[in-house]
Amino acid sequence: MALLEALNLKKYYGKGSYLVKAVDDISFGIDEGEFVAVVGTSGSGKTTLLNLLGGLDTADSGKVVIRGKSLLELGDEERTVFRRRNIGFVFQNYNLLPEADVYQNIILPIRLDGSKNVDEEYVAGLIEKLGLGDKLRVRPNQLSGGQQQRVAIARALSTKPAIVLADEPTGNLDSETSGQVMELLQRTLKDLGQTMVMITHNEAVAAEADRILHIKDGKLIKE
Amino acid sequence: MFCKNRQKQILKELATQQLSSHRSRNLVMVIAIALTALLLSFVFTAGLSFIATMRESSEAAPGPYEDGAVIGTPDHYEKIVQMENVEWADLVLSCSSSSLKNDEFAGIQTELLAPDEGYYCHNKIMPVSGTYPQDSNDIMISDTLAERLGIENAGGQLLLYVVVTSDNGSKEETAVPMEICGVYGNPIKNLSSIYEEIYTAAGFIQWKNPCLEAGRDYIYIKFNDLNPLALKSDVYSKLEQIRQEVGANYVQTRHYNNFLYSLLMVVPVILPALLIVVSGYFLIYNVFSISITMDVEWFGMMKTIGATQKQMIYIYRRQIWILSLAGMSAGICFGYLLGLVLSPRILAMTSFTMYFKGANAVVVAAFTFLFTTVTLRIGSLGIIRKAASLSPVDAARYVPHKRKKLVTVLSVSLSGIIFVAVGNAVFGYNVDTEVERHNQEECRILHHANFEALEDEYHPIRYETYEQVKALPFVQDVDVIYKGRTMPDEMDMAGMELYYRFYAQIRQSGALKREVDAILAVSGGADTLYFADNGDIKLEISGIGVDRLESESEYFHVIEGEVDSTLFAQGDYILYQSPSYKYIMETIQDSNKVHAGDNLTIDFYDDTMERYLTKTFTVMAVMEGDDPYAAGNLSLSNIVMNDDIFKEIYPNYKSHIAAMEVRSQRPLDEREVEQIKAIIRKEHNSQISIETRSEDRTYYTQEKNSVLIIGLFFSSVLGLIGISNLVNTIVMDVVFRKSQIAMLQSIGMTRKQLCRMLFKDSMRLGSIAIVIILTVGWFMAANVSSLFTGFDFRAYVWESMGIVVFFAAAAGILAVRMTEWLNKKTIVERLRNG
Repeated sequence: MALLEALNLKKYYGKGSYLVKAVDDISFGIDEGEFVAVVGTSGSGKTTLLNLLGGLDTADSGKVVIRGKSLLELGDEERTVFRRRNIGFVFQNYNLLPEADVYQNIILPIRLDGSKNVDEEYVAGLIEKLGLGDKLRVRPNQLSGGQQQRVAIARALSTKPAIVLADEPTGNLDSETSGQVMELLQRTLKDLGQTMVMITHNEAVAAEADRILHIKDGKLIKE
Repeated sequence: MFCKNRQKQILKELATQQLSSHRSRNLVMVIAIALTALLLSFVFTAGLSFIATMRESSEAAPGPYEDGAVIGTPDHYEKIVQMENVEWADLVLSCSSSSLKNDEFAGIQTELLAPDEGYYCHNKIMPVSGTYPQDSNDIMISDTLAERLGIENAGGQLLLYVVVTSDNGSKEETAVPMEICGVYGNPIKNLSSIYEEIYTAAGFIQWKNPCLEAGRDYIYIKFNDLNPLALKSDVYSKLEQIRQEVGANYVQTRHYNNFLYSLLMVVPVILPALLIVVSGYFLIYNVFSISITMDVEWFGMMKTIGATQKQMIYIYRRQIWILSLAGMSAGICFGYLLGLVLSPRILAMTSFTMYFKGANAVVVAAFTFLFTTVTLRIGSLGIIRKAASLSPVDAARYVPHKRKKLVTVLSVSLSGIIFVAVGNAVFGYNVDTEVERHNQEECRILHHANFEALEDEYHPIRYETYEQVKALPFVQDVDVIYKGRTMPDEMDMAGMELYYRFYAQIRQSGALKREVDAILAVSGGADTLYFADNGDIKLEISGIGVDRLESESEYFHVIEGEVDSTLFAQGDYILYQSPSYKYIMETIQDSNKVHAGDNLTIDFYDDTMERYLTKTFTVMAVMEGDDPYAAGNLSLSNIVMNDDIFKEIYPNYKSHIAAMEVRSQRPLDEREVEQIKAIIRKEHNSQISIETRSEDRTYYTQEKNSVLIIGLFFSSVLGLIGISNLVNTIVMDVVFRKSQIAMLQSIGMTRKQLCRMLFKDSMRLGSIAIVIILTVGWFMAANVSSLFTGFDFRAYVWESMGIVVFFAAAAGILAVRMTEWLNKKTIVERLRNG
């Protein structure tokens, strides 16, 4: 059974002559441990698709099933909790808490889950893998873009999610840093056996993926 | 020119469009401006009414349109009228040796005067009926006196009880029938409950009072060289200069001799106004911060399409102008009306209530407009300029400057402190405490000579009055406090002929003389010692019954010795208080002072028997008066003895009644008080006052209501400003963190957790404010409440709980509403826009 299944997903905006089919009847599955790249031109519906997969947005029709649980059947609160425990997000603009230090940012989802017991060994391992050991007490605004993105990756992985959804994680980085971050990301995910879906414009990055989903005008045109 | 006009037109249209698309913002702005304007308008109305009232009270004196008077003779007048700096001088002849003694005038000082024509003209005294007095038996009375007497028009007779001086210098009351030739409009109406003038012709003096002493006439003066900036504080010195030059007796003016005092009148207006401007500034600044944060994209977009900074500022300021007109109009109108309603209540707590004059509406509106405009300008211009200066790119990335929360905390704390301080004074105000402070018994009949020198000859409380009051069925007993008074009792104070308080003459000897000598050696004249011509000292000697001692001892404290009723009853023990100031006594050696246990042999002089009576006493206790509310009768007494001994020393003790404390088993009602007052009125003695618990209760109940209304008003409005500041700051903080919050929700923060986080954030802010409010508020409450009935701990506890509950409720409601508001847009939308 696939870890994640998208079944006939549709998301439309507006109506009549202003109707925009952001996601138009897309279906696919992702197995555990797979690295899937989603590519397409601007406005093709990539981000909308990612948001639907992560439960940040609700589809007008269709299903998203993760580990056998349909997101659409969950209420807002349940979906949030499910997202917290099973999905890790990496955004293009990092979205870190500016007033918290690196360590606090990393364990934020764990703390939101009310867990008093942080798996220190696991988190320490993450920190080491992502080269953040000497930055733990530093605030995000004192870090470079690449370093901030590494913090965001660590945060996404801190709850040992079922799947990581990354929306152009290197979009705000220069090519050299992009390369470094991508290398780190892929290595970490491989080491942890993590499943990832990544939106990217970077052909080199897409080439590293196990599978590429091509989206155009809201439709999945080829895999 | 044409293009410029069209540009302006476009800007006006854009302003109108923006205005109509921001309804809730407009409402908040109008409310903020209206609140500020309302408070300012109220303060200016109350403050300017206060100034007008004070001016009215100072103008409301005899010779209201003159600067003051020199008291002298017609010869002095002839010299004064020639002086260069005197614009005019009017002569008013005194016709009676004392104020008139009619029963109908009881409680009102009524003078019989013969003014010259100039006095009538300059003080706008014109007959509303009849004519000016021409003949010696003509009188013109005021319309206020006519109303009191039930007289409608001129005509008819009035019997005046004039005090006439006989050729041997003695004074006696004489009934003189007079014809009422005219009724005049009283220019000093406000004084009519305590002072009236009846005018007659100068011929009256020769006809009925030819032996009247010279030098008692009034020469009213108007100066032509007063310094306008001195606010009339130079009047007294100019009058005094004239007095010395012509050799007149003394001067009289209502203008304060202290420029600073005149300035102090405007402080009650300026200080609160500044306080409100500061509070209003915080409020308006907060409102604008939110509005502009929400509109920053508009600024960026306008910049992108080519609007200049000036044009954007114009668009925004035009909207502010329109909104402020609405807010200010409402605020000014309501504030003015409230001020007119509440100002008399404020002034009712002072002695100026009868002079109340409302503030001019135009002046109030002008001041309010000015101050509100200034506040608006300061609160809005900076932030609008900053937003308008942003480049399109910066506008897209705009993160509003995180306003220092400390300032908001201080602003909220300010409102809270005022609430606690005013609230404690208001809610802790205890009418019974005030009544008990000012009264020992249900009623006290008091001679003025207890506490001040007299302007007229001493008229004692008749012993029959004491007997009549005691005989009343509801009176349990009457305790008499006697005080010695040795004749002659005239004194000269700064050229004014007055009569001493209750002072009795004793020969200096022994320990008493030693102490007096020591006082004179150190005081350099800065003491309060009076001496007779033969060197005897004048002291206040009191005689009270043993039963009275315990009550009176609450109003002094014992420095040495002990108060013992048994010893006091024996008659040879006294209480002693030194006759000089405390600061002088502190510099005197102990060995020179009178101490408890000392034997004092005192020679008391009795002027009726023309003899000294020697008595030896033991000083039971040395005391010091402690009577801030003047409820006691002995706080100024130097020697207090058993009244039996007093009667031995002063056989004419029946003329020495200083006060009577009337005891009853239950509180006196209005009818019973009126019975006592009727007995006092028959005394026909303006030197007697009556104080009752029941009247005080009514007065302090009214004062409490006034304090309550005013306090609640101030607390409410300032509280509203504080709440608005708090809400605005919290809301702005959430708006600022919109995208951050979206991120938190994207990584798994539930709505409940979000709500809880917002609640904690608000309470963090609130906690600091609460600590400041409760600590500083305690201090302020203690000080403000001390002006009334003192700090009320229970009221403070309730207020504290109320504040904590309020903050928690506000934080809770805000957390819930802000969570709802945030989630109106999806996480995705907020992330995208963030």
